[in-house]
Amino acid sequence: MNLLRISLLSLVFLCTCWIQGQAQSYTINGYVKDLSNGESLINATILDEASGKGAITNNFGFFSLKLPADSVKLKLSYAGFSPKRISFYLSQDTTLSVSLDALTLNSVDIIAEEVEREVDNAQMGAVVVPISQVKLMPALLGEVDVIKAIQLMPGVQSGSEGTTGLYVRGGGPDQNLIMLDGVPLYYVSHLGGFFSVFNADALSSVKLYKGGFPARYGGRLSSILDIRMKEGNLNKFEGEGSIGLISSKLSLQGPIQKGKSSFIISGRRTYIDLLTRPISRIASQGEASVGYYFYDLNGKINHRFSDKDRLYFSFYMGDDKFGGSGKTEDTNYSDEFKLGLGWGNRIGALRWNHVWSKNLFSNVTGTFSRYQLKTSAEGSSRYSDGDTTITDVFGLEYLSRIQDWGGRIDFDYYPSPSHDIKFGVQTTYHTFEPGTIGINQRSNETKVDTNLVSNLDYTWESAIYFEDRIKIGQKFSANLGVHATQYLIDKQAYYTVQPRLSARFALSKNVAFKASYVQMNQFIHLLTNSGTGLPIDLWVPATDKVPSQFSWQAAAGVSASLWQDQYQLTVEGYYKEMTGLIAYKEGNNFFFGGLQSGSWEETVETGGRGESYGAEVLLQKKTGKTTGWIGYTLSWNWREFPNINEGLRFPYKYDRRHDISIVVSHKFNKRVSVAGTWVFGTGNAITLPTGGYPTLADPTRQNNVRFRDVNGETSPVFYTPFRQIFTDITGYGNGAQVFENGRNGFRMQAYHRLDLGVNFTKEKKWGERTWTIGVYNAYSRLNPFAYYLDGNERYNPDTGRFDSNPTLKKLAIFPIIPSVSYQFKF
Amino acid sequence: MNKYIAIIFLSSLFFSACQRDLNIPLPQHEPRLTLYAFLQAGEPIDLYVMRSFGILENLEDKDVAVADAKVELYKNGSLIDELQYKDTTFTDTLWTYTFSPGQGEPDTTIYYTEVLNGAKYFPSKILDAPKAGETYRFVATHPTYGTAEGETTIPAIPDLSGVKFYADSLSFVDSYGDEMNWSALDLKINDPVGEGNHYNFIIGVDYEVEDFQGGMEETRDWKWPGLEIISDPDGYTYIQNSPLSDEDFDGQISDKLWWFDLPESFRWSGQEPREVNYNRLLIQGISLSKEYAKFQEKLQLQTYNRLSGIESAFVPSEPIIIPNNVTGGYGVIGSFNVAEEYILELQ
Repeated sequence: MNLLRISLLSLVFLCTCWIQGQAQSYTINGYVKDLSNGESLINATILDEASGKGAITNNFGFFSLKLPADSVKLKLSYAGFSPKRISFYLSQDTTLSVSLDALTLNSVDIIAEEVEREVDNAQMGAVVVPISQVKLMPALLGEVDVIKAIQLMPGVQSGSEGTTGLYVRGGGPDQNLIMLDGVPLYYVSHLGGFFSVFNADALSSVKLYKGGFPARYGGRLSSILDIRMKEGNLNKFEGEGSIGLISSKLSLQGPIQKGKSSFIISGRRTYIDLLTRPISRIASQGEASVGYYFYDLNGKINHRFSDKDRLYFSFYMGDDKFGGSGKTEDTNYSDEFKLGLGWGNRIGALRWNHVWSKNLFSNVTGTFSRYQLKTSAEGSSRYSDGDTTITDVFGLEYLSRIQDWGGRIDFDYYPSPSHDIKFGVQTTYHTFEPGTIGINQRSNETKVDTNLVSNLDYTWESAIYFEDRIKIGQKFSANLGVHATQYLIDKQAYYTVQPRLSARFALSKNVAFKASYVQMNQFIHLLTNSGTGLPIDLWVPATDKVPSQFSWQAAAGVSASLWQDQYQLTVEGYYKEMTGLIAYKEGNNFFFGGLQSGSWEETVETGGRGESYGAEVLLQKKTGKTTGWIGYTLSWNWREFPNINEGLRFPYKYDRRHDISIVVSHKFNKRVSVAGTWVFGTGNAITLPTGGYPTLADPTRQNNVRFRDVNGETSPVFYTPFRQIFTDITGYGNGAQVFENGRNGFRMQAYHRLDLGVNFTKEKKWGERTWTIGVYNAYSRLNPFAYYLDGNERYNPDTGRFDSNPTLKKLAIFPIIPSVSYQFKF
Repeated sequence: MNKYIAIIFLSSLFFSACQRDLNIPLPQHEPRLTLYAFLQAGEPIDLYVMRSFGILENLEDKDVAVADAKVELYKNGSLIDELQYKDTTFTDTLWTYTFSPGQGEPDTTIYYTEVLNGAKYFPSKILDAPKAGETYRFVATHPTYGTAEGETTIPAIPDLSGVKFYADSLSFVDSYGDEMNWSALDLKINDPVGEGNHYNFIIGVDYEVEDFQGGMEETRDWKWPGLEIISDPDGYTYIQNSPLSDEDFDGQISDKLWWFDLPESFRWSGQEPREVNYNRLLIQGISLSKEYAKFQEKLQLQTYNRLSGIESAFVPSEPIIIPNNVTGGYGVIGSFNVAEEYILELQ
């Protein structure tokens, strides 16, 4: 803790010295909003063109800028909005509430559009994903998805074909802190991972940090995904929605008390079950019914008590539900069963914004988050022969859950234009319930009611942080910070201090050099090996046996603004080392070993090390009729565990040497726009046996083998039959497989895909409608989803033997898939 | 417009329901020699020589037997013999599967014969049987499959004098509401310091059972502790598949208790009720060389966790790489030593 105290005191002392050096000055503060709906604009720029000093709005649209008493020429700007200029003589502290007007397509031709220039920002490794662009992009089955859009950014990789897993700079899927309105979400996938839980209609901003993490964030090693919901239109009631192939959406928002409070509610539901239930009933002649659906419901209300106080409440709930049932009946026998599989998140956040003074802003937040997976099976049968009746009832339920209660207080302090200080405290109480199994069975003779409960773990994770965005002259700026944590489990406390540094040096007006160094700790692990987005991954805490994860990352790069700010180019190189990684022991997964042993700690290998390095290039065009980006990633990702792969380093499953994405959208006019994406990625690393060899049965584990019977005689050594050995290598029996290239030593075929979409928009009396027609995988590339060995064993009547003709097969699940959806706004 | 939208909608349903399996090639595997030797203290030496094969190779069992290798045997570093191939196809190939007859059913024992072509090598002369502490090294050379070699040191015989038996030492009510009385074996053995051996135990019972002619027949049954270890009085059962490792014994001290239900453990389920007289209980302790135990442990894991076909694409388990101590090839050269003690007179 001494190190933590010294770090904080040094930073405070440093800042105080700078602050005291300021001349007589006044503060301009206030909010920047969207004129059309009154929503706060996050990261809007406020620049005094006279002095060259400026500020940006925080996550609630608040800013504060301290300037000397003098004439000021403020320019307030935000990407996609018309900038606004305000001139006045600053002679006292001033509060402004400025609304900016969104650009229309026609105005793009007339005025130069403002863009957020990466070159001006000290932040490294961060990308803002424009929701408006995401909505134009073609999507699988027409379901627009922000996570899929993020996967198209350099340094971010998807997992398997079509899934929403995020793998950032060599990190695992558990190393991403995904927050909706500041509340962590633990599982963000629907339908086996093909769709994310985020409904784009309810979102206002999406920002991803891959490195250079600001000190206010912590708890994960590889990325922070900060997603903010819309606040609701303060001025007028409006709605939007869509009808697609598999789901429909509807969002409604409007004022509760005009100008003071507003609401937004947004829902989405699939209707796959509406098709599958009747089809399965017909196919089974009424004996069985199978269905699946998912839904999301987002809501938010906010109320402005005064210019100084504002209250928000937001929630999200979403579930995937798979269910099946069946019934068989005849004269003296009946049989019934029900199966259920469901998983989903519930989150809620209550936050209070308060402006304490002209340059001190606070946000107090209480949060709740729960993810749970529940599986159940019930069955009953009844047999009666007239004299006796036998009934048998069986039930099984499996529950896995993680639940958080959290609170945090964040302060934004703006002592001068050269300093933007953020500090705060946060704490989370985690409850881990990796797996509980309940079994009950009742029959005429027996009654069993058993609960098998894996360890319940309760942990406290608390942190304090301090960060200062410093500007020294026009050329140098930096974001310095420290994030310190305390982790409590079983009355044992663990402390960490994580320094954060991100710096920028302007080489010219349009070119800047940037560098960053960060350390991160993570006190939570994910037991996973599915890689397919199935909800069978288990969240578990760091314990004394399974320590926390740690990483450090250094990055350096160049940002440039090209062709009069029309193009933004960033080139970054990075090196990241991770320790404390865990993995299932060889041969284990959710079904084998994960639950049977009673303790998950027994099923994992600890002490893993990861190494990731590479370079990323991102060229973006954010303005004009044609927008989009080209991203390229060159990377190497390694893992090393003492007891895996004989202790040798091996490529990470998603080690992808080359990753390219091209995203383009073009608006021809108000009515028609087109969009296309093309992606290419080196094939995933997988483990495949290349050979096999016959094995013999273990003589020391065979009854009667080489052991004398009562007469003193021994039995011969048993063979494993050779025919069985040959089929073994494709999955059966006792033969041994040879992995000549070790773990993940084999590459799937490269992945590439082209998606195209066209949007037809038309003004209607009641509002606006858009038809979107899209094609996923336009040239129907059969990209590999998985490889597997197939024994192809056939009985040969001539020889009386089973001939095996094993083959390696590729499973491709998405060929060309056209889609259509209808969107409306009123 | 509506017509086109309907066509696109129907096409979407059609294509999205489609999946395709495509055969793709796999890199070539270069076959290498595979050696197996499980030397037992006091028993004759033999060695199996085979070859590995490509995962997609379609071959007959005879294709993997290697009968023309040159095999040298070293004892404690000195060449003592060149082993010779001997065709044992006939003697090693008889299989018998016995299906327990149901009540009133005739004996349904099925005899099944499979011709095997294992290549087994034997000493060319009479050699002393292996003893604890001796190191044996096999070097096999073949013009096509190269040279493979491996060695093992015969482990010390386990000292079972510390094994103790506690009759009916655990009483509990099981999940069916039945009162159970379990006996316990304290598996305390004299584990030699410095040897990284692993251990297996087997318990046997000598008993007399009524034969089909109405007389009494003396016989012996074996039971593996690994099949039924009770770890706590609540009746939670788990299965210990792999041998107990050297670390479990921490030199000479063990806290491994093997619980079992006596004599129910030795009664075959479904067996016709017959008169049984239990005579005595005996235990065998087997010490295994570490490399052999590890090989078997990983092999067993690989076997149990291997999924076949398309389901493996969706629920994969982490792949298991089997360690071996054969340089230049595959397989294992291992050894074991067996001790046997009577621990209880039952009558």
